[in-house]
Amino acid sequence: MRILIIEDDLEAAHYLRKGLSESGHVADHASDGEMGLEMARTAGYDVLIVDRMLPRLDGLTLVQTLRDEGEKTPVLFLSALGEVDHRIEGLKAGGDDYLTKPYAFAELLARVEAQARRRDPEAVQTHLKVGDMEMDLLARTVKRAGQNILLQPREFRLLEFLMKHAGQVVTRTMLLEKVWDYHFDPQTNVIDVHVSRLRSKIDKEFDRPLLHTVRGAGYRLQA
Amino acid sequence: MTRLPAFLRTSTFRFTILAAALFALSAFALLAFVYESTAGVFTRQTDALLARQIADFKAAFDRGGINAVNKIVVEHSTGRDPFLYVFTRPGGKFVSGNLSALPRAVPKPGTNRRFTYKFYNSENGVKETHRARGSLIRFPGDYMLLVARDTEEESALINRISRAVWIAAALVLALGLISGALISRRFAARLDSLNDVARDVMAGDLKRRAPRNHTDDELDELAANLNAMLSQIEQLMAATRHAGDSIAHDLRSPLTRMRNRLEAQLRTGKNLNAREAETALQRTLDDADELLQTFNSVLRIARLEAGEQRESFSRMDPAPLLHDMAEMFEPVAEDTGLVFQSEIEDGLFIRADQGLLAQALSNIIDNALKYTPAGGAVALRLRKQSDGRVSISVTDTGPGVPENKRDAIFKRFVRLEESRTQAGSGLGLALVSAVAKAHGAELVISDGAGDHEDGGPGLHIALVFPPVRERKTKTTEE
Repeated sequence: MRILIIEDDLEAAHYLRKGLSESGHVADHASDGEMGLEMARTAGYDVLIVDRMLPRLDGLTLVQTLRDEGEKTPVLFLSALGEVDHRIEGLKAGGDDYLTKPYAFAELLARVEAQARRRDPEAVQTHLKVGDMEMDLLARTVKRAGQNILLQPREFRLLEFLMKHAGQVVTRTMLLEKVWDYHFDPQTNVIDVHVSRLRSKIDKEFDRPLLHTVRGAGYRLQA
Repeated sequence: MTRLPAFLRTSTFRFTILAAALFALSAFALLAFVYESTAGVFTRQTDALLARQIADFKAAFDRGGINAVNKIVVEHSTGRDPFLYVFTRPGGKFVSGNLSALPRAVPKPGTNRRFTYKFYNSENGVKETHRARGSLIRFPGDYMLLVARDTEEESALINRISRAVWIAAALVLALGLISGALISRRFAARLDSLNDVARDVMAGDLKRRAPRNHTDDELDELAANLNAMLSQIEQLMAATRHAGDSIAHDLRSPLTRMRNRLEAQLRTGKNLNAREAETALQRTLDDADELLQTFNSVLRIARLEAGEQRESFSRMDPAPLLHDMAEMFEPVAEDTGLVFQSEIEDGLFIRADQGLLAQALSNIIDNALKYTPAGGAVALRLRKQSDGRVSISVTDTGPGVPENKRDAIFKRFVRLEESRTQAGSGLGLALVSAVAKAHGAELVISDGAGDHEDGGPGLHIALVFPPVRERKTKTTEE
């Protein structure tokens, strides 16, 4: 995956590049807004990681400009401004996700990879399949190895999200944001409890587990 | 440059002076009118009477010459006539009349003039000088006749009036000046006291307050507002300082722990195997995460207390949020052997920020789940109180909080159990308190259900929101 990091803090950018390339991605770096805009225009990037406060051209304007030009590359905002209002501003300007500094690298990586998957604009999926597990989004049914699995509505949404991001790490915060639509710090293991309930329904009676816990990061659904 | 005394510089003083001047002017105008309508009218009357007399004398002369004139003068000069006559023949010799001679200042023929004359008052035996008004008629042959009217009494009256006019105007002006000075001195003194307070505060004494006289006048109101503003500033400054202290306090221990661990690892680094090294690093990372979380919470509380973020508040029905919360926490309760109940009334409206409310409720529920022993219950309720306010409450059957410690649990970093058996930064309920304050909601804390066999009265924490007027346009129902 080709990723462009637009960030004026050189050390932070270096750390990001190193982390991303260790995870098998190619990352370029632009150290100010104008340079970032130029590089983003030449296209070919799968994801842009944009700091909000940049010299010469701030992140919000940069993304807005790109969107006005019809550039649809997913954008992940990185910012020290972490209040709800700031998030909304970022998303309004055309950002696809917003991460507050300081962040855990695992969280960033998970979000970047989740964004890359989004690139194919929602070809309406009605059927998801991971290993021997199948989900019918219209009939709202889940089967594993031909066996029906009964899920609560929230469990269904949780599994749907995990299946759509199969093979990727999804973090607890991502699940809270995307499955529950909330953005706060639950302080307890709420998400873990829900995931472990789902796990007991989809994995318990089968030999090969599909839902894996990734230490220090989150979960991954993988055949 | 020398400055005028403070009270002379006040706007009040200037206004009083202006008012006094206007008053003096109008008094002057009024008295001028009185003067005109007394003195003026009298003079015109006199002139009319004199004109008639002069016409009579001229007619007599035309009829019977000098003798006819003399005859009339003689007739009029006997008895008490208000008119004065002096008739002289050529050379100025007295012929007839009720004055012995022409007065020294004789008016010219044809125009009425004011003049004075002296005479012997036979009633009191005093020689008096009186004012008179009249004119001289010149007859052919150089005969002269003075016709005049004694105006002494009227003139004296008019003089008194005009003196009154001047005295009154002067008095009004003087009184205006004095009262202006007095009023503005009082005003200036009170303003000075306000200015003194402002200067002291600027110099750093935030405890200073403006004196009040409780008359509710404009200056008193200003003082009250100034005091309220100062209290608010003082509170905010205290909150900021407190936040700073709290951050320093709670970041210090995890930082120290982290540092100690890193130092220990550095010392024994060579002896660690890969697994031990990884564990150590993971712990350090956990410490860093804990630090960040604490830091974020403290910052968030500080921002809330500083009154930011209010623009994100909107009118909302909290029921969907509460249903989500119940759904989210119910499995957590079940896993720890607790029963989670919810009673949620739909169609109630409050003014709130969804995210903040979710955070606050999550903190309260989290707290209830942590401290309630297995077998107990936690209940989430949304209902309208009899006073119209909307209450969102969490009740548990845990050990509860003794009354004297209830205020403390909403302070930062307070945890009643000294042994840190439960995880948590100690900021959860402080954030709840800050969220409640930002929403204008009352935070009520009391004993819970209390009938659980493990003992303990349980805990009931409620956020009571002021009611929001319902819009009639739309009703939301599930």
